[in-house]
Amino acid sequence: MKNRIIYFLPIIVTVFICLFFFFSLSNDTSKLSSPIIGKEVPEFSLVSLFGNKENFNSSVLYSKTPKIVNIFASWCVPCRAEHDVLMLLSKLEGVEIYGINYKDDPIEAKNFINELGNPYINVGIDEQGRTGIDWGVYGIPESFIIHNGKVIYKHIGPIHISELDDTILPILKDLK
Amino acid sequence: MAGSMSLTLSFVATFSLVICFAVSLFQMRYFFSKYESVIGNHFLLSMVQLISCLFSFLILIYVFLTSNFDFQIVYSNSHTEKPFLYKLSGTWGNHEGSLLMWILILTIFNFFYAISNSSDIKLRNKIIANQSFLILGFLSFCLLMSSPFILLKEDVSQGLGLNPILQDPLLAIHPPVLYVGYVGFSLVFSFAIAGMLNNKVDKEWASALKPWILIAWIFLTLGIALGSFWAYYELGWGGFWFWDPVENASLMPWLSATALLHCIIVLEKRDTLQSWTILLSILTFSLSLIGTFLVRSGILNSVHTFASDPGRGLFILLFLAIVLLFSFSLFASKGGTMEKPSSFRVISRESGILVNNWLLLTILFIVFLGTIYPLFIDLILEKSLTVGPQYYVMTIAPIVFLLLIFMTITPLVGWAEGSINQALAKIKYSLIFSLTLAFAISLYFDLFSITQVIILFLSFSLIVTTFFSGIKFSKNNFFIKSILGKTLSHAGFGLFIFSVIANATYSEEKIYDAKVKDILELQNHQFMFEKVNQVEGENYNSIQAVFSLLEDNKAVKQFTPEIRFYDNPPTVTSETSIVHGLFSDMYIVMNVPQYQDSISVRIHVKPFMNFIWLGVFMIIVGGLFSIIYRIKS
Amino acid sequence: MTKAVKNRLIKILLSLLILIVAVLIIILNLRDNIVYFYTPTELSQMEISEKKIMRVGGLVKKDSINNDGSKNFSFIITDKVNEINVIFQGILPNLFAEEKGVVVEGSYVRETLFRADKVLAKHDENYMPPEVINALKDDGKWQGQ
Repeated sequence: MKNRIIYFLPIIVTVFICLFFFFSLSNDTSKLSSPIIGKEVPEFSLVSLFGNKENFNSSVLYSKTPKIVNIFASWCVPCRAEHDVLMLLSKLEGVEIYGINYKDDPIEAKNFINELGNPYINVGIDEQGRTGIDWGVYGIPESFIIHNGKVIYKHIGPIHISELDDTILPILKDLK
Repeated sequence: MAGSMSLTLSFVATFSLVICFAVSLFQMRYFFSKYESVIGNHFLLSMVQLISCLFSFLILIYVFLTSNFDFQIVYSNSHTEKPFLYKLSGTWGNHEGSLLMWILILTIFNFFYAISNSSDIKLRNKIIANQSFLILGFLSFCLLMSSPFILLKEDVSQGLGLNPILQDPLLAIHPPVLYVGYVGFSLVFSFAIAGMLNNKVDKEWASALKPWILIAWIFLTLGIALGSFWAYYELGWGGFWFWDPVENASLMPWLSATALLHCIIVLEKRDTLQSWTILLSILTFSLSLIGTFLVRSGILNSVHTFASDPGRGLFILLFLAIVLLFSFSLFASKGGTMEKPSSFRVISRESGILVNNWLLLTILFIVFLGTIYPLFIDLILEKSLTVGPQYYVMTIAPIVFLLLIFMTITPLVGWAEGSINQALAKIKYSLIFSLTLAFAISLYFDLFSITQVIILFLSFSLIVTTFFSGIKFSKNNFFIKSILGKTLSHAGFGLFIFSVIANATYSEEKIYDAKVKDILELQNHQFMFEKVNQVEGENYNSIQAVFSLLEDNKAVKQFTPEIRFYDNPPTVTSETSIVHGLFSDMYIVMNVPQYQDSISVRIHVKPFMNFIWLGVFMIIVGGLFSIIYRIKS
Repeated sequence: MTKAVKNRLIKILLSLLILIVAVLIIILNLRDNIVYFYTPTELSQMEISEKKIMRVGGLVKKDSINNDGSKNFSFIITDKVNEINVIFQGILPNLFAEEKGVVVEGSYVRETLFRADKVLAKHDENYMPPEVINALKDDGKWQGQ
């Protein structure tokens, strides 16, 4: 039967299409591995966004209690989407969130926080984005979990409510 | 922390799904030859599957209606201030809920199949087994990766989901209808698998399968039409189809289902085209799967989005790959042996239907390519791009052209061996009539291009010939003749194509700066700007402009376009005001008013819109008639 | 060559021909109807050719929306690094607002001015989480057109 081969054609096509979809799925930026994980946090000292607070220094992050560092900007749309989740997170006991305000106008950043609420203990101003580069920022928002000055976990993109329970909280729990 | 009530609800609902899982696993025993001829208690077990899923779905509806924010899914998708209907539709307006609904519909189809008449025990057992396998697959996905019954660990008092743009009655009913269509093809798929396993794909098999194809096809058509109707009146951009990836994803299974619907007739009547039918059945179901899940996983939107959970997409992809590879391997091993030698000539109804099949699949390929190409380029070159609607129009138009010709002639050509001359002789007068009509209309309006005149002529001749031949054959008892369904659907398609062309040619829109008491003119219509009102709605305030359509200086119709301001979340929406006329729709959209004495408005005149919907309606009703005829005989 | 073989050959050649023509038509049309998407930064690094239809996406810059009191609008699209001036005539869609994502389709009138034929206040997909897009898109088939 020379026509036989035709009956195998659908399998071949299927394999190609499935492979294509597979690569499309894994072509996802949030899957990028970050070279920063496991390393010590970069050194920085940033002026605080809140006038009455001290500079936000890297030394704060060398502590037994795990901290979350969230890089955000008022112009970034997903940061807004993420903000509700951060607010929720900040109300939990023993969770400390610090912010780095990336390439932003401090006045707008203040408005942003006044409007949506403040989940941060302190926010450092990184107007030029230098510190962001040291942190290996790929696209904001990005969040890091820090313990004893070491980066334990990095999350690219807005934290979704389901990821709170599935990833973020378990990691924090382990560290305590 | 979640209350004990929520804990119980979540547990009971999940447990109920686990029962369904167990029963489905048990039902899969029919795959083995040991059980294939056993007369099982399908009624009872499929009832258990149905009720357990229904029960857990009702719990989900209950937590949505009571705004129980202990549930993560309710927190993310609902809000206490949402109107009742949208709390309800919120149940399936998200990934987890819609998956559960998908499973529920799967069990409903399974149940109805189990209680339907069937003499072939082996076929029935295999189909039940395969349906249960599908239920099992989706249930594991639901339970493991996207359970709707996950509780939130934090205490919250208000939900996040209150988007006024999504609050629309059509949006609430459109997905379930579409789903019934999609899921219906799971049964078609099971027929294909069972037929191959039993080595029995014949006339009897086709007769048993055809009504299910019809049911699924009717719902799919209706679902697509509802979606398109929503886009037309809600978006206010004057169009009803935008070749958006999400729309395309629903069109693709429709095209392949329509091809299947026609080739099953050949199989039923002439006992040939076995492998082709099987192939189309599998294809239709896989496109339905792609239509629902790959759209939801975010692949079709953009690969650069921050996908919340690529794992979900991977699971579905894996499931799809398993299902497809399994069925196509079966096809590769059985396909050749099932085919019965075909004994039809080149000029015969079989060939005509086959050609139409190929034309439909070419359209499918075009749509597929247009949808997938941007993803491909994004993957390879990391550039984002869109494919313009003109691509679809330019490539699909010539095929529609051929489709119309074949649709006109094929039904008049005899089975096995026919003659084109005889067919043409039958429709001589209809053709001359249509040609005259097409020329008269285009001369009168002086606007159509050559291509348009030709398509106009072809769609007229399709309508006229189908109606004449349809009525002639069914003179005796009009309503139960099988041909009536076909007549309506085919003529409806002709009407649809005609109206789309006429609509595209004569649609006009214009933007005006209007002051109160101004009279605006568009295509011989006069619109008077009467006044501006402030209106207070349930959860919004709005500014409303009042226009009236003038005829002989008297106001005959009123338009009230609005700009709505919602507080929570602060959102501004603009509401289109449409007046439906017999021959043309008119509508007005307004801009957010500035501090000036005029506002800008856009007026659309869209001729033949009613006929577009009528055409679609006829296609659907034609399908219904065919079903009724089936059941009666 | 027997008649049967000859017939068969003709059939195969004919179908191949049809196939090639069809695929050519499709591919050529596809090539002509592609609209590329750029960000202001990408645009600043390339040669600007007028008349070429393209899409540009970014955020609408704060305080940049100007309206002459009628249907003419001008605004600035920015990605916080580079920006472009846009003019538009018509009715702006619902979701169009300052600081919100926007995609416009149109072409350059001169090197520094972009004329939008369409404003798709589709939230910029490159910056939106799929939850938000899906909320709009899922059942709603949201599109800005």
